[in-house]
Amino acid sequence: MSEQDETLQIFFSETDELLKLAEESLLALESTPKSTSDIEQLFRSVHTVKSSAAMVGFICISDYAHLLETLLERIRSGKLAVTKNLITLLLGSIDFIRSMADRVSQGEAEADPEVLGEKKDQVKRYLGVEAISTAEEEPHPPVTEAPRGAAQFSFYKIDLKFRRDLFYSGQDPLLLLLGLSELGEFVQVAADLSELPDFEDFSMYDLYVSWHIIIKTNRSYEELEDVFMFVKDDNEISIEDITKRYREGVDTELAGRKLGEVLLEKGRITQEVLTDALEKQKMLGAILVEDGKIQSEELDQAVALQEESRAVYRKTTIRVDVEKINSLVNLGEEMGIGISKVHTLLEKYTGHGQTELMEEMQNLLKVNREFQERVTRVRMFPLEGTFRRFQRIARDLAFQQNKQINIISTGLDTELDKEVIEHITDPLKHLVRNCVDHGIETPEERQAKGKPPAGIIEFKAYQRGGKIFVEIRDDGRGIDLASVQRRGLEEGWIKPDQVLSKEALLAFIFKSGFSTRSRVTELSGRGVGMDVVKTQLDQIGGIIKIHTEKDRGASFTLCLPLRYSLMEVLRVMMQGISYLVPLQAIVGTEKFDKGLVKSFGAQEKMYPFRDDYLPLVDITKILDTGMPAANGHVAALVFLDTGARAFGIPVDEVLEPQQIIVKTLETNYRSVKGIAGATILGDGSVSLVLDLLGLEEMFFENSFKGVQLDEGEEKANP
Amino acid sequence: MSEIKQYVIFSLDEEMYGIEILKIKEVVSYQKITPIPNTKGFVRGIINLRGVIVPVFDLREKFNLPQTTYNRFYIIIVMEISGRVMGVIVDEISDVMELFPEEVQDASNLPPGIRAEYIKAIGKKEDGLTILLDVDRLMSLEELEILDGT
Repeated sequence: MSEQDETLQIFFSETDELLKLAEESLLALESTPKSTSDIEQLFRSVHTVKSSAAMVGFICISDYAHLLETLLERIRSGKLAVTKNLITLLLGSIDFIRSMADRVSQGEAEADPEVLGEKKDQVKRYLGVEAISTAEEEPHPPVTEAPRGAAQFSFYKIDLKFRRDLFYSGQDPLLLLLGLSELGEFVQVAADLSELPDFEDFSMYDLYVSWHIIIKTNRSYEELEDVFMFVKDDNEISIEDITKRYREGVDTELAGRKLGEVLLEKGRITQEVLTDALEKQKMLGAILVEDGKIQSEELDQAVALQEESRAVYRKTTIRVDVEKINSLVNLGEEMGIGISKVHTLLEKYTGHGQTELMEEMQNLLKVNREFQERVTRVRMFPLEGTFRRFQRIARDLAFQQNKQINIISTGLDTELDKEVIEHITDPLKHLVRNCVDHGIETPEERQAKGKPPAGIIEFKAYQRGGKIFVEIRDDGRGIDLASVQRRGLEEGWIKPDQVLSKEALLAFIFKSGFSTRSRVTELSGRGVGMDVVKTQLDQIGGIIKIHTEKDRGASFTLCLPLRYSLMEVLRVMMQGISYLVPLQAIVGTEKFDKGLVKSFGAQEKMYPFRDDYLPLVDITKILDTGMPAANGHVAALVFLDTGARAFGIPVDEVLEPQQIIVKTLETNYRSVKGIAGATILGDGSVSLVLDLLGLEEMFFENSFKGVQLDEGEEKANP
Repeated sequence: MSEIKQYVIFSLDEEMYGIEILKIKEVVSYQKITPIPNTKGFVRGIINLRGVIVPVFDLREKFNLPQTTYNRFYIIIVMEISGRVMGVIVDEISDVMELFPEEVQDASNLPPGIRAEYIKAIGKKEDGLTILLDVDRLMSLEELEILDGT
């Protein structure tokens, strides 16, 4: 790798990391909009991306990040409030930077100039146009009272509270407002209805409404005042120059204020409504305490822990090449094998110093056990990052579809093998999309059903009995079994009069081409997906279970192995060589009774198993090792079901079942048909793991092709 | 070839061969090899090298030399070739030899009938003659594929 390449490599992985951090802080900001530490982190991440992009010469990325930084600076200095829309824009910006980096890494141009311009404009809209030119003077531009030229606009806040009997004086507030509107552009007009009495007390000759107006104008204070010339004396009219606050065309004061106050001022709600709502509103913790779910001490502890972990989590990770870790894991295992071999030898040893040696050995065994455990843990990562990504996906999707969701994640510290995480990310992503797309209803629909408007999506992870469980649950409409059945009928999977159990119906969801939803969304609903989910899980030996209840929601539970390549196998001997058969495909083993074999033609043999006759497949014939056949003697049969076919294989001996780590042959050699990989047994020897699907194919589809001729070896000899 | 190169010299059925020392990762004694099904004789099988699965090749088979029963006195030379680790079985390792450029003769002048495709050059030292193998070629993936007819 050249130095240049290496620098780029560092840039890509660093940028990736930084964007993740930025995204993380954005999501955190959404729930706690004023968290300075998150704003700081966000700012730092974007800043670093900017500088390193500039360093490696990616001008578009660095320019764009710079613009973003300017916007963030405004948030940091409290001039711009963090709103949901702003977060959405920023999340989009992070995605855009990521896509630019991706493009560059594939050797393309950073961005389409047109797209880049558009994206920049989006950001600029938040900055306000004039802000761009002053961007470099940040962070503390002097606020001057400099005389404004005619072309320069000012902002005025005008509060109008008229006498109740205004109408009797022949004045009409509407005309006054119209007159005012001719002088400039209304930025905001809010009618304050809080004085409005109950209906029976209402008098149509009285004026109850007052107004709060913000106007953008190039006229002077006096000109504005003139509009109210006839009313200003005996009414409460106040005109205030707030241009300072409105530097970028956005009311920067809003940032530091509470939402309720803002709404109140805009006349969207009355004081009573606000107070009422505030009384209802409590912190999640307080609600839990109140409901008796937790004790308040527990709450305090949890909060403290959470804060602590937030601080620590960011500090203590380093990036290491997976290869390095893998070789450590390999060596660790080898050392374990070595130690246990020495241990066995030592147990037989009776010579000098036997006691001391044995004592040391015991220590070594202890250290080794701990070492093994730790080494395996090195590859394990908490699901936290993955869940956070899903949170983001769910949030974005809900936002697009105008749905409201609350996300609950538990078991964030549950650790999984990195490779397993990589393999389940896509399936989980799909499930999350399904939950938002198909599961969660619109707020109106939910309220009609008597549910709270915001749906709940729950991510949960836990470990139980050597397996990891990952659950995704929503409280939406659930899976509509009736339409599943309809689909089944349409596709001809079910016969018209057939009655199927809930489980059997749910199994159809994993069939390719299945989708009950007629509406196609961007992400899910195209009928691809659930079958892919299943395939992906099959690959790592995972299982998925669905639970659903109409209008109560659906849950998908993934049951996963602790490690990616961890497999349960049965060890068998065939002609002196030991092979490993995946346990999940084994339906039973039986003693071989020659008398029960039924022959078909010259070669084919059938054997009774339970109620059926199953073909016998002589694996040693398919797996030709080129070695002289050892004096094998078939003593047992192992019956297998690959999902497509069931058959039996004759073996000499059935040994113990074990958990093994499958290593691929491709690393140093290449793939071999019929072999899934190899593993190192407890005694250090190598054994091959059978690939049943491959074998099945070889036996059932190639059995008529005859024996291949030996050739190629002699080609150089004339 | 302008500089001195070191070669590990080994014997195979009384014949001397050399492999560039820089290609060699380590040397281990022969151990039980697990055969891989449906591969031709050249691919002997796989061994466990400290937790890594390593394929082992039989040079006798490749060079049409008489077969022998391998035991623990034979040697496996483990090499790393374009990122992949693999081993070859040899009779014994005799020497590490330094060859000056003038002691290396290219393989263009070989008697007919000798399979030149895996020979990189001939080493001449004192009165001995050593066949320097082109291991990159010998162990290339393409070569393995041709061999298996896949």
